Amino acid sequence: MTQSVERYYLGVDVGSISTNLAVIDQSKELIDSVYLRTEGRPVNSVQKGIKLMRDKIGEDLDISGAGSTGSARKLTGVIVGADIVKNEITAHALASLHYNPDIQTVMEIGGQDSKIIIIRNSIVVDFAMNTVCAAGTGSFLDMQASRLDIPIENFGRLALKSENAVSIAGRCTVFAESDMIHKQQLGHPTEDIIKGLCEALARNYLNNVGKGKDIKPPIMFQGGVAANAGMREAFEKYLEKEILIPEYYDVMGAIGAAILAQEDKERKKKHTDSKFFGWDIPDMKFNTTGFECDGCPNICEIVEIRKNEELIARWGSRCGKWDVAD
Amino acid sequence: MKRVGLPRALIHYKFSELWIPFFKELGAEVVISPLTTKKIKDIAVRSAPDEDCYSTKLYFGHALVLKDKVDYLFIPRYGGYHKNKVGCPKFIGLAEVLKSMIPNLPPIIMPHFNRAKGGDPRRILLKRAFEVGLIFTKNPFKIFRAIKKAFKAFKEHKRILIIDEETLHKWELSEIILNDFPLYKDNERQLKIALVGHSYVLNDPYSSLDIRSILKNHGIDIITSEQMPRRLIEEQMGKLESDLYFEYEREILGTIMYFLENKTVDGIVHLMIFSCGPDSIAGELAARLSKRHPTIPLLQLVFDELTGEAGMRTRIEAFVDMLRRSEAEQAILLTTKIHI
Repeated sequence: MTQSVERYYLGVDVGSISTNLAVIDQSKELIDSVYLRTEGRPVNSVQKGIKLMRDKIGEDLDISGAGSTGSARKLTGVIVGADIVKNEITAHALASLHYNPDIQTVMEIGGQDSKIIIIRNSIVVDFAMNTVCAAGTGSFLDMQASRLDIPIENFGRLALKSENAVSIAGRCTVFAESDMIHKQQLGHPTEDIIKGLCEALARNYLNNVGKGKDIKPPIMFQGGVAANAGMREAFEKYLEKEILIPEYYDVMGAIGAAILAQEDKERKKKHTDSKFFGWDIPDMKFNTTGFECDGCPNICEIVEIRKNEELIARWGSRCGKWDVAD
Repeated sequence: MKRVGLPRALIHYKFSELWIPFFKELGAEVVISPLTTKKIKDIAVRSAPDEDCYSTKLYFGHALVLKDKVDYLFIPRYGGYHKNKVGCPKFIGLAEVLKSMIPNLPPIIMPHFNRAKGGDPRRILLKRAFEVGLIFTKNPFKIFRAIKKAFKAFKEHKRILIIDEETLHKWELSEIILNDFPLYKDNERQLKIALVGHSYVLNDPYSSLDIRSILKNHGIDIITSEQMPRRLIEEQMGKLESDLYFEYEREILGTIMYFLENKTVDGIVHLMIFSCGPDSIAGELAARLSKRHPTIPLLQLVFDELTGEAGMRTRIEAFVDMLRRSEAEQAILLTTKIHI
C-alpha cells in the first residue's frame, strides 16, 4: 500500500433509537461523526446522516471502504453499499480496544439493547445482551424524561444534584414507572427520584445483562446512555470501580464498523474498490415494500428494497426462495 | 387400511425410526405431521396449557394438525430408556393432557414404558409392542415380524447417528469433517462447534430458528450431542458430585463436560427451551462448569415462541466472530514466537 494516499473508511451504525456515522482515516483516527435519531425510519435517517456527513467533510473525500452495524445493519448495508456487515458486539469491542487496548469490560447501553462485552488480552472472551426485557435501556430513560417533562440531556445533571436517592423497583420497566409515580405522589423531590431511577437501571443492568460476568477494570461505558452522568455515578457506586467514558461514546458502534471496513479491505491482498454507492445516496430514491408469501404454511413476510426502481435486495423467507443476493 | 398419526415433536425425534417401520410392517398407514411451521406454532400456542415448555406446546400443535386425518394417534407414555434414570415427566402425561384438553380426538394408543421402574425391559417392551400390534392385526407372527424389523431398523439408525470413539477422535484432530459442505470462503481454518440440545430442538428448524443452517453458512462443522458416543457421556456423568436425574440432560451436559475437559472444539452452543425444567438444571450446571474451564467459550440460547430472530442471529454472529478473532490472534502470537 502506498503511504502517500490517505484512505478513509465510513462506518454506519443504525440502531432502534439513533443512527450514527463515523469516518476514520487509515490510522483509525476519527475524522468526523454524525449522530441523529432513527425515528423509526432507518432508510431516511441513513440518507439524512450521509447528507450531514457530506456537508461536514465535503463530497470530494473518497471512501475506500464502508461498514454497517446495528440492528438495522443488513438494511443499512444495502442502502449505503457496505463492504462489510457486522454485528454490534464485534464493532463495539473493536472501537473500545482502539481507544484503550487494556480494556477488560465494555458496557454498552443503547436505545433498546444493552450489552456487556468481556475482553481479556485484547480478545473478546464473553458477551451478553439483554433478552426480552428493555428495562435498563435508553428508551426507558427517554420515556421517563418526557413523562417528567425534563429534556433527556438534563437528566444526568439533575441526578447528580441529589444527595439522597429514592429507592425504585428496577426489576421491570412497567413496575419501575408505577413505583416512580408512587414516590412522586409521596412528595419526593424530582432529583431524588431521577437519581433513584438511574440506580435502579444500573442494578437492573448488572443483575440481568451482567449476571455472572467477571467485570474487571478498566471498564468502558459507551452508547447513548453514557451521556447520562447519573448512570455513570450509579455504576461506580455498585461496581466500586472507576468507569471510563470514551470521548466519542455515542458513535463507538460506527467507529467500530469503520475499523471493520478497513480491516476487511486491508486483509484482501488485491486492492478492490469499495462497494460504497457514493455521497449522492441522499439524492437516490429508496423504496421498501413488503408482502406475505403464501407458498407454504410458514407465511413469511418478505421485504423488497429498490434503489431508483431497481430491485437491490429482498429477504424474509425462511426457505430462501425470494432472497436476492448481490 | 388403518391410519395411525405420529406427531413430529418431542420424542418422535428419538424414536421415529423405530415406530415408522413397526406400523408399516403391521400394515398401517403412517401419517406424520409436517415439520413445524408458523401455522402449527400458532395452533400450539393458542391451545396448549400456558405453563408447558415451548416444545411440549409444539407437540400439542402437531397432534391437533393430525387429529382429523387419522384413525389413531400414537402417543406413548414414555418414562425413559436409561437403566436407572428417567426422562421428562411431561412425556408420560402427553396423551392424558391432550385427551382432557381436546374433545372428539381419535383414540390414542398410549403404551407405557419406563425401564428405570424395574422389570425385564425386553420383556416389557415386547409385551407393549404386542399389545399395540393387536390393534392392527390378529396375526401374532405378523406382529413379531414387525417388532423384529423395527428394532433392526432402529439399531441401524442409531449406528449411523451415534459416531464411534475412533471417528470422534479423528474429528477432534481435524482429520475429518462430519458434515458435508464447503470450507469457509476466506480460506480460514474450519471452526468446530459442539451443538448441544434436545433432539427435538436440534432437528426442528422452526423452533431452533434453523441454527444448523446459520452455523453452516458461517463455515462451521458441528457435532451434536445426539452423535456423541454413549460411553463418554456416562463417563462424564460419573464426575458430577451428584448424578443427573434426567435421561436426555445427561446427553446434553455430558457432551458439554466432555468438550470443556478435552478442549477439542472452538466453542459450544447450548440450545435450551424456555420453561423446560430439566434444561434449567443442566443449563445452570453447564454455565458453572464453563466458568471453571473458561478456555472453551459456551453460548447458551433460550428459545420460545417469543424469541426474536434478529437478536438470536446477532448473538450467533458475535459468538462466531469471537471464536474467529481469538483464533486469528493466537495465530499471530504463534508466528511472532517463531520469528523470535
